[in-house]
Amino acid sequence: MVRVKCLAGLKRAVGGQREITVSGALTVKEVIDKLRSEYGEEFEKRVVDETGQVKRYIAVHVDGKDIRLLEGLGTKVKEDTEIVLLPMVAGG
Amino acid sequence: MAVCDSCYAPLKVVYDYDQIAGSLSHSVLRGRVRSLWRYFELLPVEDKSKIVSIGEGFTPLRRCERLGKRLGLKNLYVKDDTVNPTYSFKDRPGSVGVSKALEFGFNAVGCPSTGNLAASTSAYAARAGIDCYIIVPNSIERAKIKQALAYGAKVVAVKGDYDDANRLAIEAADALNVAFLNVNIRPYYTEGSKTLAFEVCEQLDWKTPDRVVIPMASGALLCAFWRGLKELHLLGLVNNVSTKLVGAQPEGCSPIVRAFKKGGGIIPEEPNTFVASLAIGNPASGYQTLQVIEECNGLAESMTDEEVIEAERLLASTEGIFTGPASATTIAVLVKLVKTGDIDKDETVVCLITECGLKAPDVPLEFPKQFHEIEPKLGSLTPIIGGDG
Repeated sequence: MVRVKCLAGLKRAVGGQREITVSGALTVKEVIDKLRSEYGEEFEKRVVDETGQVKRYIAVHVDGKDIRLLEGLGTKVKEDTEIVLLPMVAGG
Repeated sequence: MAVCDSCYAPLKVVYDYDQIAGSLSHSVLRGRVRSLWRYFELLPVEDKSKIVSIGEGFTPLRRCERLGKRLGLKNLYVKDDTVNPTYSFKDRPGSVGVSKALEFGFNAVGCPSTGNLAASTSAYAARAGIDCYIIVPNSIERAKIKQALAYGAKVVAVKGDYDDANRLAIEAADALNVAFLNVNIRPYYTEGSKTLAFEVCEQLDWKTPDRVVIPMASGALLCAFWRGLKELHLLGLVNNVSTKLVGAQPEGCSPIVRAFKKGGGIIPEEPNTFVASLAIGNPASGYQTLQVIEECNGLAESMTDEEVIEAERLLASTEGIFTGPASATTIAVLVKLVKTGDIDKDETVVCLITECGLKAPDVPLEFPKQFHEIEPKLGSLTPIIGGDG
């Protein structure tokens, strides 16, 4: 099971839960697609932009690494992977 | 949280400018306190009794005649924020952020940080008599957190890098009753930085400079400076804003510069530079920064660590100002842009000097030609001093 943490306001995209699990996904994109189908419009509205990509100001971390430093949405996930969706807030 | 609930972009503080215009003027400001709180109406704290101040801001705008002459610039200045209470510009957002936290009713503050903000937050928390929690990557050198420890903060070293520390702070801000300055009260905190623009203009007798070179990490400082200029114009305190801003980054961590030069979006980077204060590979205000640079017809440029060291030495040896590598990056960029002709020699140029060099003891500044070990004999000393006796 891939664990997905949604931080700050992003919790609302998944029914207010801080942590959820997703099974049967091999890439980040598959995890996102499963969440889209499970949480429907609320997830779409909060996480995905008009082109179908994750919104510009949301960072997706896989086991602590930003996916833009890995293989983007094609980044592979395993059973014990932790994905974190978080607003891009860093530095000052 | 400090972001838009819909698109997650950073939020901005808005003011009632019509009301402020009626109470602020050049003559009113002239007699006010010599700290950033002289611009109280343009800062996001409403209750003056909550202000936590150690005399931050209203730092010198120093004319640099020797460095200017070396570069061929007639009107070169540096805004010297090395003289702030904790020796960096972070005392501006630190003072405003902790004050706002008190106004919100928090009795604990904190921040994820790699150094300067940790010191500043801790100092203002000490001044306010409240708890302070600093989250740092465990790889950080102890010297970088020595100040925060002295001010009494609890320092939590996270196994991981800055991203891990930052992510934990975002999670903690959601779960604990702590105001993390650059996380859950970030929009208020960044307002402190715009006072640099207010002061520069006031110190130039209410004229805007032609060019300002600004170090960029998240990009928030450059955006805040621009916001400050525009607010002064909106209030009629300056006549026009034709200032071009130049963002400076170290080459080993320059996601904003790369996006500026290549177009397209910000692509995060793994920092590979000793300019620790600017080593944020995923800049939160990157997109806004690019918009501002485009709006003001500005530039973004990066320099190697070696060029930054050279610039640190150049500023210190020509003007007597010992800065850290973050702001030396602005001097390095200045040198380059004067050479390429992008900065005209007649322009009024200001470089923001945002931290004291003593705060970056690990930077490999070496002076082999200036250091000599000798026997305690006059005969050994005279060849070095060069006198005839």
